[in-house]
Amino acid sequence: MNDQYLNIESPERSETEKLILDRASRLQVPDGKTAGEALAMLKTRIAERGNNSPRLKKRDLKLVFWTASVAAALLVLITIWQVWSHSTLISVIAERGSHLEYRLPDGSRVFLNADSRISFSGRSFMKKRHLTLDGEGFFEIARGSTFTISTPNGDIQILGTSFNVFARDNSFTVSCLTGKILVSALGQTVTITPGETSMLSGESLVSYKNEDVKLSAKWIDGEFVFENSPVGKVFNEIERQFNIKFAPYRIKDKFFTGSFSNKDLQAALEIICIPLDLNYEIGSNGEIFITENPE
Amino acid sequence: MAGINQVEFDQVFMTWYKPLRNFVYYKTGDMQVAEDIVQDTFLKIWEKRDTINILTVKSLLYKIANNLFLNRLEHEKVSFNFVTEYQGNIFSSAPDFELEMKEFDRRLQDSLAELGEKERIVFLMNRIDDLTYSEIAGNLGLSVKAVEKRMSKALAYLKNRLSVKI
Repeated sequence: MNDQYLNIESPERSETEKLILDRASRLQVPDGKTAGEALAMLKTRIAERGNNSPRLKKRDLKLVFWTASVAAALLVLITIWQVWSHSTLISVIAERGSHLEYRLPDGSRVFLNADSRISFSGRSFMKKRHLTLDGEGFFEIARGSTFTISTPNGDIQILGTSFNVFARDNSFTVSCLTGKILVSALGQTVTITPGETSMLSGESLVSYKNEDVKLSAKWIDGEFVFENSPVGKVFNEIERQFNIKFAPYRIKDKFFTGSFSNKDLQAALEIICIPLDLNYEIGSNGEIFITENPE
Repeated sequence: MAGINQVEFDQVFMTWYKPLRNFVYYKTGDMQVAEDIVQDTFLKIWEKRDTINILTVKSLLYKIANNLFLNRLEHEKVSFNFVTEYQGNIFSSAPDFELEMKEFDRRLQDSLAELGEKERIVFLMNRIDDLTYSEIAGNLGLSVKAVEKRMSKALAYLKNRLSVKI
């Protein structure tokens, strides 16, 4: 017997022992909150206690106002400069309901998920590999100088690698599949290596080992994988993939674990709705209505 | 150096939340209780973050969680409702076998609930969380020898309860 694991295949193990060890390793603890949700909950509790959270003083507020004004003025200048200097700005857009694969001038490949766009300067891209991303993309970066991606929620610096970026609404999640990546947001910086994910959690940028890092890029094959995701997020992805709209719905907090394919809307809706005890109906104008099954 | 900052705290949380919650679940068999205890554990760590050393935070987490568990007033009888994965394709051709496995899994869960707590935790950390003996030893503040002992004790007990005809 070694230190690492019980050797299931060891010849002196009886059939019963082998069966016990094998079946026990297939047990899974019941679904609970994900670590991210639990952390968000804890932060709410900490904030409610109040005694530890720094409060903005009046003076600080004044400072914030002035800083904001100066920043706004700068922003106008920067925009003007950008419009001028990026007269050759190239935008690549994957519309709702479609995916797109694009090869950048340096040979790097980008897979854009539905409702996502990248833009970069046609003039200076080869000099300074920099692009902006809004939405979700999977990148395979060709070897060369540092490659930088800016998103509304944070920036990523890459040193030759493949990884997935999800930057929508308030979410910013970067998963590293190969190579090494520098992620920064809100003045914080972390380095992640293969098998690690970095995400914005409230005000801080954290990184952690992610067993399911490969799943983050499944969408390239048209498969969308969720682990304990609020159902609203899952419906948002459905809207983007099939270019449809859900009518406003009122349902209890529900969490979905599983996957759907972007090939068949009806099948996708069933996969999500049946286990969660929801009904769906497709209206004449294509809108989808979600209702909860009565208890 | 003493003290952990907020970013380090978040990292500690993301790294240790799941293993710690499973650890408490193996004690209680109640996911809701496990989640509550782990929330309270991290809250304590947060309150003491200025005096905590990041190098020893792991064993502190397990100790606090254990204490919070012991301090709970009601200790109900443990029973588990693990989720089991059946490999559909293999079993669909042999429905009898699937039924037999389901029955076996049910008995396995019942026997795990009867098994001594110390042995159960070590056994499940190894089987479900895939932790090595030395990792388990590190988390629980035990020697590797002690983990080995608990592991074989657990296996012997389960074998005794679950002798099957094959």
